[in-house]
Amino acid sequence: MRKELKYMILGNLAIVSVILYVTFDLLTLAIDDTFQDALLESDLNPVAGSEKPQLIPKIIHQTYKTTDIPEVWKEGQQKCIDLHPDYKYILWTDEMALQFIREEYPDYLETFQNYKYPIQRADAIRYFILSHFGGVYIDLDDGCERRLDPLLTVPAFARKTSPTGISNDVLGSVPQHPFFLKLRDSLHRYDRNWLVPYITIMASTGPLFVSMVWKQYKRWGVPENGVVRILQPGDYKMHTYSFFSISRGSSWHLDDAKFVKSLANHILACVVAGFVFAFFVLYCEYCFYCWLCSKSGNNKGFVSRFYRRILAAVGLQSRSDNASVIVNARSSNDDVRLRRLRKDSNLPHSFVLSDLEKNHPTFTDMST
Amino acid sequence: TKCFSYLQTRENYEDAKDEKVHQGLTVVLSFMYFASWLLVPAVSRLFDARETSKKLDLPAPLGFASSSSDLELQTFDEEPELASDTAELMRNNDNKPEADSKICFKYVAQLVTLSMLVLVPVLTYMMALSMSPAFDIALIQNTSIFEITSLLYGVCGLTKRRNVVTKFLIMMVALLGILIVSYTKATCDLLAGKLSINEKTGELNDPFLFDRLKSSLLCGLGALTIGPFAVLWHRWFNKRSKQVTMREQAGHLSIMGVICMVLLLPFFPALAGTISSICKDRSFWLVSVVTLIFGALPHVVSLLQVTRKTTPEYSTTINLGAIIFMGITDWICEPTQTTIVRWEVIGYIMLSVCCIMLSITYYHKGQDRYTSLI
Repeated sequence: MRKELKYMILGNLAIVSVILYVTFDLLTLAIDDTFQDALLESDLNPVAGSEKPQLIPKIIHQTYKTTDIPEVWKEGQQKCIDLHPDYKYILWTDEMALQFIREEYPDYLETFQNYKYPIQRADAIRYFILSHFGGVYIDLDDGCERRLDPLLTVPAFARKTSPTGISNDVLGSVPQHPFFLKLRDSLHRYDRNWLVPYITIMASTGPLFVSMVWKQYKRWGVPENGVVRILQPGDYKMHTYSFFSISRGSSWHLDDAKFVKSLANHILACVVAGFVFAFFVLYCEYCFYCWLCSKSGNNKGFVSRFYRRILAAVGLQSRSDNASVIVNARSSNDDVRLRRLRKDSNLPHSFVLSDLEKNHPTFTDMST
Repeated sequence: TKCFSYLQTRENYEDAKDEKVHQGLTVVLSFMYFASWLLVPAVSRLFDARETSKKLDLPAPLGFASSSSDLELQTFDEEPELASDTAELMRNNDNKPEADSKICFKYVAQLVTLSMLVLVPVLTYMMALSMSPAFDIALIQNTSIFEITSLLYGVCGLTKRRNVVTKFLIMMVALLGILIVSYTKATCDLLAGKLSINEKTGELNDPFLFDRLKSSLLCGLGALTIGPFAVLWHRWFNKRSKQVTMREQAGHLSIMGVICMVLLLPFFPALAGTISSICKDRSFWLVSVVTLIFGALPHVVSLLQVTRKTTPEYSTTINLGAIIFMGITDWICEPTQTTIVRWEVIGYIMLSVCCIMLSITYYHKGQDRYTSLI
């Protein structure tokens, strides 16, 4: 194998390894195992008398930048308050959230304050308050449809999202739950700018971040009483026994989010584009490899000639050098041919000159 | 592809919604596909008989290459191959039984390797067909095979390294055509009412969206093993220094078919439900037999002929042609539901023109090739 090819293969393997390492958690999301820990019918609608003890504290957390909540979400918020008179209700404003982090988690203050988008802080604060106080966090665009008591019987829960993984719009946990502690501790590591705002938000604090940390959390075994139960789509919304209803949300979505979402409409084209891009990169490398070969070999390639002409034009190489290279190339080709002939000539005659004539009816056998 | 898709998605089975029935169908159809390879030797006799009669009328090739440029452009070493064959023959004479067993072991190892490499794309293809429309699968599979074979033939020295950049540009235009077709296909489906958009969220109202993504990736990535398969096939069983007969190659292929069927056997104990469902279903057997005899078998035979008669890279254009014909098939099979937009037509034209250009660039008759190499 040529040295150039060896280096190119090794280079590609290194790049693929790095990409695999960086995107490993994302790739694991391709295996959707949210059904394994699903909240079952028996958990959500227990027969009278068979109710389990409630583990999660009766606290409902919601967040908004101020106490002045938009009209579109007021009805859903009020429903949650009305359905749960025995629950403690806390609306976390931006000011309260900052104060809480400053007092309780000063080590995280810098990360929290440095988030580029306000929605990242709104995402992050829910992991802190759930790991600290416990309770149920509900997004303001999620209105309550029935009492949350059955959900409090598990140590922690989240809801399944489409197409894979879990979302962060409805979460519940006991205080100091290992998954929420892990979420809190992972915030700094995942705080990266992916250039596209939608992807940056999703992967640093949003549902993608939660899903990737959840996959990591499950990878090496879940600690005792540390399981996170998953609320299935039918139990989440739009069914008779669903816990929540949805009003218009996604207030933080910019044009890039709309574009990313519209890609789902052309899913085949996205996959094809990926394949075409990979081919483009690899074939460019192959062209470069061919150029290297032609440069080190017979120097007759178009790119090589072009390169030499440029060198000659700039004055770094004389035209006589060029001519001598061509002469050398010719002689080197002759060498190759001679070497081939010599190699053949070393073989026994019986193998080189096969008895074609004798075996073919159209030829005359001269030996007879 | 269309028939395989029909067999996987129709609702005639007793428990059509059961996931296991569909998984079982994937294995059963893969098994039947490989079984069709057992018919290739029989078909190959027709071609060999015709070639033998033609050869008798032609003068035998004599001497070394007439043009020095041909020799310079060869990127793979025929002489060591000849030398190694010779050495093998000499060794055979010295110690025959031991050498025989070695060659036999090597041959079996080669066949098993190739069988495993071809089993993966067939299984992923069948699996993907149960989750996505036939056109999507045909498009992504052929794109993937076209890319990987074009690339590996080049890297492994099975192509002439002449006009590499020009060929690359034509290939990229063809791929751009495929990309346009795949993008506009969704637009056409939306216009035709096959898909709809959720007005509140702007997202596609498609509960099988993730399935379609999964199947495209599965089929595309699975098809990549065709690349090493094609390269190894040419190196081991399509040697350019020898006039390989179709019967020989058909023999290798049928053994590979048997190996693949054996590899699929462990899945069968779990397929009792599927087999009982399809056993009673006459239409299933009718469609599947028609598919194999008039679809799979001619495809394999024609591929064998093309790879044997022309340069390896010529066969890559078949994949581009398959995409074009899949579009035509879709249009014929669903005339009432197919909406065509201007850009889709432009995509197909780009693809067709590039396919013809590549065919002309790659086409070299086998006879020319052999005379230049001997």
